[in-house]
Order: sequence, then structure tokens, then C-alpha cells
Amino acid sequence: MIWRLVAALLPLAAAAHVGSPDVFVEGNAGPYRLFVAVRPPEVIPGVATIEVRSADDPAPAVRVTPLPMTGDGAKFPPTPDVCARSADDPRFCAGSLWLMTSGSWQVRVIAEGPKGTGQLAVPVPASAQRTRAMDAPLGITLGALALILAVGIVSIVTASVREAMLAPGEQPDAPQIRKSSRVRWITAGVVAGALFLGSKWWDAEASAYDRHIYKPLEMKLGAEPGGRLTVSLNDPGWISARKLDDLIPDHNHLMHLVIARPALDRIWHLHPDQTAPARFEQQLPDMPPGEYLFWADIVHQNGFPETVTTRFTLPEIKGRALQGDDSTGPGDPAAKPLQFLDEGQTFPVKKMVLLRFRSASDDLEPYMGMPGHAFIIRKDHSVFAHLHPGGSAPMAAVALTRPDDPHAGHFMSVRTPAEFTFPYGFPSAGDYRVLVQVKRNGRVETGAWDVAVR
Amino acid sequence: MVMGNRFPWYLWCAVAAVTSAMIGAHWDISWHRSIGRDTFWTPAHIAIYLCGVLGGISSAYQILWTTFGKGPDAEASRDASVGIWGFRGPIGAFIMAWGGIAMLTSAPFDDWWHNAYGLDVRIISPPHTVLAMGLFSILLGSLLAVTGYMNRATGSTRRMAEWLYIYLGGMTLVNIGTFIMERIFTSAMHSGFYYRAIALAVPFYLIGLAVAPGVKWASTRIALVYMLFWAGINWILPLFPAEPKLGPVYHKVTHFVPSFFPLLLVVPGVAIDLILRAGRSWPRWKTALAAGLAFAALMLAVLWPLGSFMLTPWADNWFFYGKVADYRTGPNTYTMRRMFVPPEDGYYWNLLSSFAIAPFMAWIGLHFGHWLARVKR
Repeated sequence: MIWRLVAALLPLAAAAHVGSPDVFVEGNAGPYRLFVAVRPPEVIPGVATIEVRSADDPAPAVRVTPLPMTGDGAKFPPTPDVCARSADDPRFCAGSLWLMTSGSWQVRVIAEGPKGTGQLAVPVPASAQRTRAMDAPLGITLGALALILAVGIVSIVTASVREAMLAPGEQPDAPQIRKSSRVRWITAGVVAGALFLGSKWWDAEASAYDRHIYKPLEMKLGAEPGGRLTVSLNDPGWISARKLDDLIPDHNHLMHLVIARPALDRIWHLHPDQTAPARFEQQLPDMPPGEYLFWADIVHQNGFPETVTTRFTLPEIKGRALQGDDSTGPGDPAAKPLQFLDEGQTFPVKKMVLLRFRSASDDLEPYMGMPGHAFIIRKDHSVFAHLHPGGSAPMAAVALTRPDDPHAGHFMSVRTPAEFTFPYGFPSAGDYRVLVQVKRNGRVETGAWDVAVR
Repeated sequence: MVMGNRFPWYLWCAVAAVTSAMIGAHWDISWHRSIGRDTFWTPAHIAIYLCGVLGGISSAYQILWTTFGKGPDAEASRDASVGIWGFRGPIGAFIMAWGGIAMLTSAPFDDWWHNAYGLDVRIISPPHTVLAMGLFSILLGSLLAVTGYMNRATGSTRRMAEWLYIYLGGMTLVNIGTFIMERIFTSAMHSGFYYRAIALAVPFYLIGLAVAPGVKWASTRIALVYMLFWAGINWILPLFPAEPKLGPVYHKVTHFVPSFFPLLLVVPGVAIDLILRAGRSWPRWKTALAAGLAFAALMLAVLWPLGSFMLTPWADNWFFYGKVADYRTGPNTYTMRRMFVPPEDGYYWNLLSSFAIAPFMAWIGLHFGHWLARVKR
């Protein structure tokens, strides 16, 4: 039991993305433009927080309700809660949401105002991230109280045997005192046994909870000099609902594999083909030998996204030219396909921000149904997030929240706007690299910028 | 404590503590079945923790006044007290104080538990067990404080103490009935485990507590207190609106959901009183055997047909609240289909075992009851 009081925090692993568990979405709830941040709890069942900012003035009244993404639970939502409006900023509101099980959830954001009523669903993956340690002052306080209670029981039982049945003024005789002494030791033994069993129970509960803490999928790679890369996913054991044969396409691909050199000076955004459940293959382009970082984004049938990550050393690859939606860049670090309107700005920690980009010309084409794809990577590689202008939720999960809309997971227009934004909140202070990909004249162009978060 | 003409306020305070806890517990259970989610500061939780506060005030006053009080009254109180860690006071006050500390301990422990392992999925967790032990100790301490007072008192204060004893006896049945609630739901009324759970939980109190006050119809009156309290709180709760705040919501709920109609303990209560009266000179085992067997047989005789009745439309009213379900109850559950759960493995054994368990628990209860009758401090 004692080790639990001082147990170190387990490293924070996020199911979707890496080290970046919060969900940021920009979207329309009917006639209202909303920016939503959902911060899932670290323990499940737990309370997530939700922040909603409205672009409209006057802002609509907002109500929120969480419900499972799929299954019967998705059909029977509870009564929505009112999102409490900020006194300082009437366009901002915040609320809390109870997420009762690990898995794929959605939060329905209902906006009501002069222009009518609208609804926006935000996919939220929920997974227990860690066990919180007991800090020393609380541990000492509870330990002292437990000691008082344990000794107290022994004293109370002893006193009840020794004196409780005596008439007022009567003193206990020698046999009564001897009997109470025997009872004292018997009670002490019973209390010690109860404490021991209680400790075992606590350990069993903690160990049962540990089994529900999110364990990322493992990725094993194999590479041939000819460029054939094999990717095998392995489940180290987590909740039984996680399967590896239930992946669904996220803008047309079952896997988005991002490969980067540790210096983050160049990335490859590839889309391996599934050859068997949890087995993928990719034909690599020419790549210099060395160590690379790999992040594989997948989405399960229930909309639960995972990012599987590993490091791997590749031999020199003499492969073939990139095909289809596969891309790499930046070729020339100085050549920027876009203007980053917030370049040079220091960003806050956790707070939702809009990363704004503008194209000098309006000749951008949708790349996999999107105006752009952004990868946010912390320089120490502890954070990886794959964003779209709609936000950080995978489009495959967004599509599940709108089963009646066949275009829910896609950007609808053939022409993309010259200016677009990525909603995001940097999870921690540090130096980050932001890589953005757009498509122009049939070619994917990649721009890279450094960002400081303090 | 000194015997005066006025009944001491600290015993009323102890009774209020127990009442608050029992109301709070039922309110909280209904809260979880109707609304689903809560915070530390729900009224139901405040009612539960008020038990710790009132129990703490009552016990602290009794102990501090008995230990440090001046004058002949304090001297007399010290003569009728037990000593623990240099303090003097009634044994019941020390048990209540222990319960208060246990409840105090459970609050930060439970808060940390939620942060470490998530919000409550199970009712029985280590911090909840500490809370339950605290509650039970305040209940037991209150009973002992009133018993000690009753056993020393005479005249009108004795009669008042007897009534409070009966009331607290009823509260012990409410408490134990709440503890076994998950085993004795309406659809289980034709299951073996239903009768085994009742035989394990009830005879110790219903038979044991009837011994100490030495009044007529003690068991019957204790059973009536239990039934009126249980039925009353379940008549009152559905008067107040409530709607689920947790999903999925399989069953529409608009008001606080009651639990189930109380066990008809008044029937075995009458039989126990008659047996205790007839068997005054019997050895304890014989009394226990007769009372325990009567209890098991009468429970089966009255609860089995009550179960059949509860599943009929005749029970769909405010009085019997036969047709109730919490928001999580799916359409294919036995509750929604108004059916009994199928007989479990070992059904006959469970049913028969209640006829052995009830006399055994009655025998232990009689020992406790006779010990209570001798408590004077």
C-alpha cells in the first residue's frame, strides 16, 4: 500500500496524437461558427472540461452533452448541460462533461440564438492516462488518522469489556481487568488482520485500474534496400474493445504514416496499404540512411484514433518515386508555399489558438479533401499532432458523428480558400516545429516554421 | 451522565445524526439512479456528512463534559463512564467519536481516490468502506449511548429512552437494508439469494435488539419504524423532479426514483415478540432456533406473494411503487419486462440455507442483545 502513496507519475500517453490529448475543433453548429476545446480527464471515469467560443455576436446560448460515439448509448443522450458563459467575455463559455468509460465519445454542442438552433458534434477519445500519486502531506494526514482509528478501536473494545457494564461508581475487579487485557490483544490482532486485508484490497483495486490505463499500440518495422517497408502493429493489451482488424479509412487511407528525421528538417507523409489485419506495406522513395521517427495515425471503427510511434534506422533506400497522396518536404527550407500570419509570435500553453496561413495566390487544390494538413511536432519529439483546418479530430471520427452526411469527412469545395486556419492548443511550453502541406498544380508543397510556446 | 428530568440534548443530537445519515443515504442512492452524476456538495452528501458533524458534536460534548466538567453532576457522570486515553465518557460517545473521525478521514481519501482511479464505478471501494464504517459506528454509538442512559434511567426519561432505542433499532434495520439493497430488488423476490441475504442481515438486529429495552412488542415496533421510514422516504422522493445528467439514458426519468417497498418485517416482528415472551426461561439456543426459524418461514410466506403482487399492475401506484426503473434500465431487463430473474445456480440450497442462517444470526444477536441490556455506562 505504502508504495502507492509515493508512486511516481506514469508518463502521459495520448491515444490520438502523442502528448497532445486535448481536442480542438472549429465548425458550424447550424448558423453559428464555434471553436471548441475539449480537455479529456486523465482518469476514467472522470470529468472532461469543454470550452466554447462563438464567432457570432450576439453569441448563441450553448448546451453540451457527452455520449458514446457508436452503439446503443449513442441513441439515448442525457439532458444537455448549460455551458456557463464567462462574465468577462460573453462569446466564451465553459462546462464539464462526465466520461464514464474508456473509448470513443462525442460531445454534442447545441447552440441556440436569434438565428435558430444548430448542433456540432466533437469526437473525443477517452482513455485513462495515469494513476495520480498521493502527495506527502495527504499521505501523512491519512496515515495518522488511520493509526488513530486502528488504536481507537482496540481501546474502545478494551474499555467496553472492562467498564461498560459496571454500575456507576463501581471499579473493575482484577478478573475483569485481565479479561479486558486479553480482549485488547485479540482486537489488536483482528485490526491488524483487517488492515492487512484492506491493504491487499487497495492493491487489487489499483492493479485492476492499472490494467485500464492506456497502453499505446506497438509498431514493428522492416525495411529492404529496395524500399519495401513493412509495418506490423501489435496490441500490448488494453481494453478488450480495442481490435486491430477494425480500422476505417481517414480521408481515404487506413494509415497516415509520417516519417521524419530527428532534426525535423524533412518529413515524408505516406499511406501504407493494409495487406492483412495489422500488417501494412509501403514502397519508400529514395531516402538517405539513418535514424528516423515514425508516427502512424489510424482510426478504429468506433472512431477511436490512435497514433503509434517508434524510432527506426533505415538503410540507404533506393526506392521509387512517390505516388498517389504520398508526399515529402520541404525540399527547400527557405521556400514557403504559404505565409504563416502568426510567424514569430510566442504562443501560450494549453489555450486554444488559431494558426493562420495565407496563400499568395488562390490556386490551392484540396489535398486529400482538405485545404491543408499540419503536423505539430515538439523539438524533443514528445508531442506529435496531425491537424486539419477543422481541428485535431480525425475526419473519419467526425464523419461518424454525422452518419447522414456523406461529405462529413471531406472539404466540400474543389477550390480551397486562400486563407485558412488550424485550431490548436500547444500542450506544454517548449520549441515546436509546425509543418504544413498544401497542394498546388497537382503537387504537394510543404512549409516548415519554428514556434515558441511559453 | 447525570439523570435529570429533561432528556439530554446530546442524545437527541445523536438521533438526529443517525436520521440525517439514513435520509442522506437513500437520497444519494436515488440521486445516482435518477440524475446519475454528482459532486461532493449535493444535498444528499451534505445530509450524510451532517451525520458526522452532529455525531461529533454530541460525542465531543459528552466526553469533554464528563472528563473536565466541574460540580456534582460532572462527578456523577464520571462515575458512570469508561476511560480511554485519559478521557472519560459513555462508551457510546467514544464509538460515535470514532465514527466521526472515520467519516472525516473518508472525505479526503475518497477525493484522492477519484483523482487517482476515477469517479465511482462501484459502491464498495476502500474509501466508501471507511465512510460506511464511520456511519455504522455513529449508529452503534448512538444506540449504546441511548442504551446506557436507558439502563440507568427511571420514570419518564426511561420511557423516552425506550422510544429512542426503538427508533434507533429501526434505523439499524434501515442501515442494514440499504447495505443489502443490491441483493433484494423486486425481480429477485423469487430467488434463493434474496432470502439468504435477508436471513444473514436482519435477524441479528430484529431479534437481538428486542431483548434490551424490556418493553412489550419491541421487535414489532422496531420493524414498524423501519417500514414507515423506508416507505416514507420512498413516498417523498418521487415528489421531486430529477432528470438524468449521465448517458446513455435507456429509461426516461422525470422525478427521483424510489427503491422498493420495504420488507414486511412487522410480520416476523410480531412472532419474535411472542416467542421472546413465551421463551423467557428457555436457553438462548432454543429461543434463537424458534425465533430464527419463525423469521425465515414468515419471510418466505409474506415476501413470496408480495413479489408476485409487485409485478402486477395493481402495484403500479404511489403506495407500492412497483413500476420504477432508473435511467440505465434497458428495455430488455427483467425490471422493465416485470419478470423475476431466473432461479440461480444453487437456488434450493440458498433458499434452505436461510432456515439455518437465520437461527444462527439470531443466536449471535441474542448475545449482543443481552450484553446491551447490561450496558450501564
